Amino acid sequence: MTFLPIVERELRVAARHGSAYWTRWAAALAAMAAGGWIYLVTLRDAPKETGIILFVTLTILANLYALLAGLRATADSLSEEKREGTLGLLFLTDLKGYDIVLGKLAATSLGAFYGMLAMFPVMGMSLLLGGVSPGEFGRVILVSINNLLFSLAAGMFCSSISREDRKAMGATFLIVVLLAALPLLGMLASLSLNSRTLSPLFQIPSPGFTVFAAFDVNYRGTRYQDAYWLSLALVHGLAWLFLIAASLIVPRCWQDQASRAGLAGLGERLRQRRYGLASVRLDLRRRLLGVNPMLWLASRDRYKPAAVFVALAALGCGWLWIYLEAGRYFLVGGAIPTAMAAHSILKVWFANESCRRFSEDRRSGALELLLATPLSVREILRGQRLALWRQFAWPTVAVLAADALLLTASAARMNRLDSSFVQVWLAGMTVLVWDLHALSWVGPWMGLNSRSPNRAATAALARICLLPWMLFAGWIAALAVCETVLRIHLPGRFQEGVFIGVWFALCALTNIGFTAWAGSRLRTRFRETATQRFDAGRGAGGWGRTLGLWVGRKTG
Amino acid sequence: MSTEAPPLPAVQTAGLTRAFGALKALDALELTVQKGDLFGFIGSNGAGKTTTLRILATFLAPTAGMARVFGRDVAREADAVRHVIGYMPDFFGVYKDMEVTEYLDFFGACYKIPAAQREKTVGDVLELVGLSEKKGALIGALSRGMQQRLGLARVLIHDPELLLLDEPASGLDPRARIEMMAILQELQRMGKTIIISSHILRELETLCNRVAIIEKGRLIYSGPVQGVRDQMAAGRVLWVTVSSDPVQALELLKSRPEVASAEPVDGRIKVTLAGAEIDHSVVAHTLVTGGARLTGLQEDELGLEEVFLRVTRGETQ
Repeated sequence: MTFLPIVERELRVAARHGSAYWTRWAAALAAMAAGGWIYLVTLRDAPKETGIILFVTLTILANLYALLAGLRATADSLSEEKREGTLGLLFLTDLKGYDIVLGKLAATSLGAFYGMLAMFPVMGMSLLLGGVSPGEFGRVILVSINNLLFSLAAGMFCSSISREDRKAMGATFLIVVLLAALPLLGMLASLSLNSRTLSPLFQIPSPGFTVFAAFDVNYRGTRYQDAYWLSLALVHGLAWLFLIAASLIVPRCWQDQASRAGLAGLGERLRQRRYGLASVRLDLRRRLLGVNPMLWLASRDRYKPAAVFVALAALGCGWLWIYLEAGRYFLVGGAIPTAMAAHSILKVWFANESCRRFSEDRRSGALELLLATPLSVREILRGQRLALWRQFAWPTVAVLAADALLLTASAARMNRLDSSFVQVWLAGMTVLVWDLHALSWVGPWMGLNSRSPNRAATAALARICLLPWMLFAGWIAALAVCETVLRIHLPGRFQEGVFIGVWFALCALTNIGFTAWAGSRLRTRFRETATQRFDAGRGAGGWGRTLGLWVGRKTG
Repeated sequence: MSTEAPPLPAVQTAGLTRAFGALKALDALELTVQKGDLFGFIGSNGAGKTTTLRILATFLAPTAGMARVFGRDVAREADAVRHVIGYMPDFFGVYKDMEVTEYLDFFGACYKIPAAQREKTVGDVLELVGLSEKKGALIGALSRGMQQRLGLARVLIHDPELLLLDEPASGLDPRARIEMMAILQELQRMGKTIIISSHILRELETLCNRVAIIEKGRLIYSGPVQGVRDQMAAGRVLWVTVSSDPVQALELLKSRPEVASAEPVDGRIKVTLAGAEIDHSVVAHTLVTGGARLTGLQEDELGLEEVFLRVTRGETQ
């Protein structure tokens, strides 16, 4: 008898998969790019300082990667099987819950683990540059792998209790973020209570705290030495707890439950709240179907626009709480981070919504039915964009109004109206609207080409929101090389206005380029793409898969 | 003397070819479906049935050749074609959290039916497919058979002239299948042209007036159901019962050149005729004139399934 037969098989399959090569390659490339960039911009500094900056930066990136890995890899693994009705087939065999959970973990997580391993050699460069001890390096490696396991296990647990991908991913995100940011919450609680000490309850269970305690400056000669190991063990224990819970839940959750009268009634009430009473639905249908059938299809859920407002309101409450606790200093220091958080919420949500409709409808076959009607592609796209703006227009206006308030308040607090400060705000506000417009084109195209709406949203965000920042970082690195290696001193190179201008220009360029690209694809290839049926090797991540297979072949 | 133009065929394809990379899913398909036909489209899995229907539904462009629906080219006049066809794929998604009426109202709007007219149209098609009592039900709560009927209602919402139905009865229980077939017959009576692909050949046999058999993307037969039986009737079988000595009857039959073989099976004699054109009265005549007491003569009806198995070799792409 073989112990954990599924795990062994899944590991073999995953190790041969093209994405395993691709993920490893991409992670190493990203780490090298980040490391190279840090090296270039700190050329004037002593190697030891460069080593420390490199190490700290890569540690933060590696742990962000680790903590978010569960969202991408495991959060929709079991829930997807439940939706497709394939989970029950596994339980018709002799397999146990832990076989399934660990097998799924192995299958979905190997790529993420390879990606993490690929970053470590680049982090090791800091050992050669100095400023980082081997013990510190070892502790950080340990905590990074531990956090990866924690995130993957949290994802697996949430997947076992959910059926919908959004719920599973949302719950995973919430668990990971709440636990990682536990020390911050503790600090705020201490401030509220006028206490100078932070309870260990806010530190030890936090994967974020373990990272913090792993650095020499915190670990050596302070009380964090024991806390580091305790936190590491507790987070590790939590990971196993999640896996054990998932193993116990999975055998009990795959069957369709007979609906109980009470639950059915509750379901109907929730549905009525979500979509409204028959008369309300009829009224909405009459109004929106006349404008565009797609608009109605995407606008039926009344909670959608409200949910965006709730998230933004929660952020606003958090801001208000910190402002009341930290005082007026937060008005200046916290204004831009708050605005960035609000912009990020809007962009991520918008990207997700813009990808979801076409991705899900293509997968279910519903999009094909629409395309059999005389509704033109132009009308379908217009309806989808109208629905997006119907959901996000007012939240966007609210965020822009909050931006204006924050700008005015912080300028008043500083007693000066700095032109570059205003430029930063105006550029950020313009880019917000422009990014949302670009996402309304790029998102649908990505959704159309991907089995998973979440992957599609990630791809759209990477193009519209992440790429300009990466180009901007490249520009700064090039400036540093010009300055320190080539000894070329460009006029006005360090003026704030130039930085803002370059960043804005890069955002504009990517937005214009990708909007034109996606618009052209949607107009010319929508019908062809939408009516292709998904099969193995087609659909999501075409170029990534090709690259992975190519690298795989090259490396034998 | 005035000469009337021949009626425009509902569907006509000429040299219709569709390749997916190196794979030819359709290879110079020549097909004609007349208006008002209930046309069965038969073939093994991967024979090219769905590809043909998807080309006619304007989802796929032909690699070569042409396909016309009521005289309109599916590639160049796709918008016009979509107005006159109703397509039901083999696998179609429904919005499970929608009510039946909402679903049909939505598709009615997609077909640009005016709002004032939609309510009546929705009621009419629901009545036609027998779902009037379920108009307020959630689609997710409907049985598979009801969802298929709802799919048919969706197809009918804009009163199309041509229905393209890809495996409409697959996965349905016998009662639901019979009900579905009854609806299709009713639609034919209403003057609709229907092309239906199915694996359940016994039902097509009784339902369709014409069939086409396709294999490896090529048309093997197209015409009336009886025509294909006749074509395949070489070696047709008769069952003979005699109350006299069966050995004598066997010898009488074997002596005739029209009889390819005769053998006793379970108290009867299985007679295989040498050709399709041979009149089976020759068997009765031989036995009666030879002194055998003939008590039963029954021709083995060649079913569509048998025909299909004979004309195809089960080859798929």
